[in-house]
Amino acid sequence: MVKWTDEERKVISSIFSNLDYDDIGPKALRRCLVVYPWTQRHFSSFGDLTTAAAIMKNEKVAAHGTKVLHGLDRALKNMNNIKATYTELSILHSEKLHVDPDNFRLLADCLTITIAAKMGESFTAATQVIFQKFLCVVVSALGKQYH
Amino acid sequence: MSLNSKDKAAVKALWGKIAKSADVIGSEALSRMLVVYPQTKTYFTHWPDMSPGSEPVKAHGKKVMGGLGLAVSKIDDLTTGLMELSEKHAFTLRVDPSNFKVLSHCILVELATIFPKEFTPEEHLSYDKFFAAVARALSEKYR
Repeated sequence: MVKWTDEERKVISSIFSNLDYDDIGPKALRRCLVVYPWTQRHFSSFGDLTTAAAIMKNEKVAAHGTKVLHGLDRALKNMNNIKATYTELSILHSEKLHVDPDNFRLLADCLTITIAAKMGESFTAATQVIFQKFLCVVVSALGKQYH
Repeated sequence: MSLNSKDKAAVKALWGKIAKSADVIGSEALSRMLVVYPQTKTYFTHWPDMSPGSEPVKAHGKKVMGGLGLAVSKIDDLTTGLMELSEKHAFTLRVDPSNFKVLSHCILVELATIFPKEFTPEEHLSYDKFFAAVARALSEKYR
């Protein structure tokens, strides 16, 4: 079980309560698809992803970005047992969606950069280390059921 | 994943702005790295002070950005252009090459905080590729 200090819980909670999911979710996923184009392999049914411009306009990408970001809410509500919280989703990503778990790390990095752009100077090193710890735990939990 | 002409243009375009704040960016990025990836502190135990924004961190951040500026000027042949720096990292500093990725990430985060509008996904892509190419060139002499 991962231990969280009061400060860490406060910082994480604050970041997410000030978040516009419909803005940040799409931005993070679009960034991932542009910067790491091989991640597009899971979205062949989403329509045109051939250029960065097409990705930025794509409504299915935007909707999915929001959905994925809301997926983090589960961790927020169950900080004391993130691993168990994602058992089902981990099985889904492994056995049905066949997503390489390294992709979770890539999306997490893109989310970090998207949040950094939003928060500017207030995304201090101290904030970054806490946010990355949180994402690292989620990424690890999502990879746990891959056999 | 080599740099195409679009990447080189994107890197040079933003570098103009980056160069103006190079000292701050270098110091901040390095500070982030030491805090977010504490294992990197193992390379700096000879410093009297490893805390964010300290004099040694500022000085070293400036040095690192100078190296990146050199890389931008030698972007058409990084292997040759960074040969000396590669030898330094390989034989003198002996920095584990996995750390190049870690510092690159921290510089990207810093760029996002300072240039939220300019650091678009496409600019991010070109810089991610550029830093990976620099890391490859720096690793050249390792073994």
